[in-house]
Amino acid sequence: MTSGGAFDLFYSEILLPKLEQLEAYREEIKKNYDGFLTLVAFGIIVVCGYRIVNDGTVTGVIVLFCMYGIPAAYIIRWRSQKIRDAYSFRFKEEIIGSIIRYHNPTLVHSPEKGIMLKAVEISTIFNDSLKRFESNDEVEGQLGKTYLQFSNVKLEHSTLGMKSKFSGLFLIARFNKKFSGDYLVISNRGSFAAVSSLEQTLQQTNLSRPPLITVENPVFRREFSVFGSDPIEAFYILTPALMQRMLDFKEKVQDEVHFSFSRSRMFVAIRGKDHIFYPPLSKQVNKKDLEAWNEGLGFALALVNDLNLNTRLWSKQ
Amino acid sequence: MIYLAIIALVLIVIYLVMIYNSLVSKRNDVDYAFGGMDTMLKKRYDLLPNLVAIVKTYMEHEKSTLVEIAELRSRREAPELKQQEKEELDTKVETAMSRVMLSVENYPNLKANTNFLKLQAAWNECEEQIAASRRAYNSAVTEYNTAFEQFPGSQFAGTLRYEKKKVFEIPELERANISAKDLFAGK
Repeated sequence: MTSGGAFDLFYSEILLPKLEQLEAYREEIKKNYDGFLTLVAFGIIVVCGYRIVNDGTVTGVIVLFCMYGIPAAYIIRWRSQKIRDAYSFRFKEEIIGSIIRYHNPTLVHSPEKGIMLKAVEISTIFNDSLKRFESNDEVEGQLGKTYLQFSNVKLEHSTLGMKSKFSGLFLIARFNKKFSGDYLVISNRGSFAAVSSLEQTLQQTNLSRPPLITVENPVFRREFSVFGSDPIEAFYILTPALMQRMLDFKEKVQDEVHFSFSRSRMFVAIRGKDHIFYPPLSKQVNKKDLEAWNEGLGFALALVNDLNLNTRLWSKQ
Repeated sequence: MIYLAIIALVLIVIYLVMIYNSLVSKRNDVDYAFGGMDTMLKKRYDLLPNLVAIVKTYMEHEKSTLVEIAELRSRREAPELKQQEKEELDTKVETAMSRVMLSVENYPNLKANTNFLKLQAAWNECEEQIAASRRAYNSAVTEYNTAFEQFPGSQFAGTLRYEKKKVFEIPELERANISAKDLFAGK
């Protein structure tokens, strides 16, 4: 994992020259955008001023302002998004792409692509209907013996009749064992045993989920709820060692993390680590921002080692 | 007033039916998990002949262990064995196979054999599945025993003549710390 002194060297030798070039590009497009805003504002003022001079009524001016102001606002928003996307795309290609290749040169970064909705549905982490799904910044590649794929994901879902939003990282990894069933390991929000127990009772009322499975690790039971159709296969997947690693990973993430095991693949949803590759247009990106992004990326890539997915002692090689 | 009493009675009956069904469901879960253990153990015994056949052409010094494993397998297949006897034989097979797997390190040609590597992976998988089935069995037994001991399940259990179940435990011998030296010496 790249950190500390190694990242400092990478930053000064590789990233800084690219950032300087990008900064010139950012200044230029920001200047053009400011010019565009000024032009639109001037246009509205001229038109309104002309009508005030000719009509002279306050109501007329307000109506006029709305007639031209509202479409102008939409145009400004559209233009702003275009400019932001253009800058973001170039930034991701040059800077984020460099950071990703620095971690592992075989990884492929596609800013416009993301995890597909179908994959998220297969995971059943967000059961019931999924709405307003968007994903971008896909990273994929082989890490040792494990194929990993992840991207930013934003969606809305409803659980037990309540709407919720998820924004964060979604990862898919080929698991190191073969299994045929579907198993969910959902993070409990309460950190006390009584609250977790109540959460599990409520989650059991969700009939679209398979039955609750009680594992032997009491700390794991407090932090996660396990659902699945075959307890034997669930225990085969969730060994004591893996459960401990999942607990350690959740501790490291410091946020909600959900796991799902299906079709010999593992799905992980980590809340909160979103827009990790989204550069602001209004200000220059500094080293501290890039260190935070580097950490978030390393986070996702470390999943394979943290959960020991490259250990292949069984029939799946 | 009479309607309230009828509703209360119906609710009580529904509650009692739920308790009864829950106990029956937990008892069935225990039986299912026990059956799972048996299936995985059978799978292990099915792997043994192929493993022994490959290993014995290389392992000159472990012939006695391999003969012991073949004998244990034959005895395990006897239909009249009691549960206690089956568990004892399973433990002996596990110990003997641990010695064999450890000794593989002394035979580089065997380690390089593709068929052996595939069988070794299958064996590891089988051992993991046995461990998983035992953990699932213990989990099912614990849930059943808890429902059995808690009120009002305890009242039903007496009526239905249900009994507490024992969790799967390893023999006392296996609780002792393992000495790698002893394992290599074949003790």
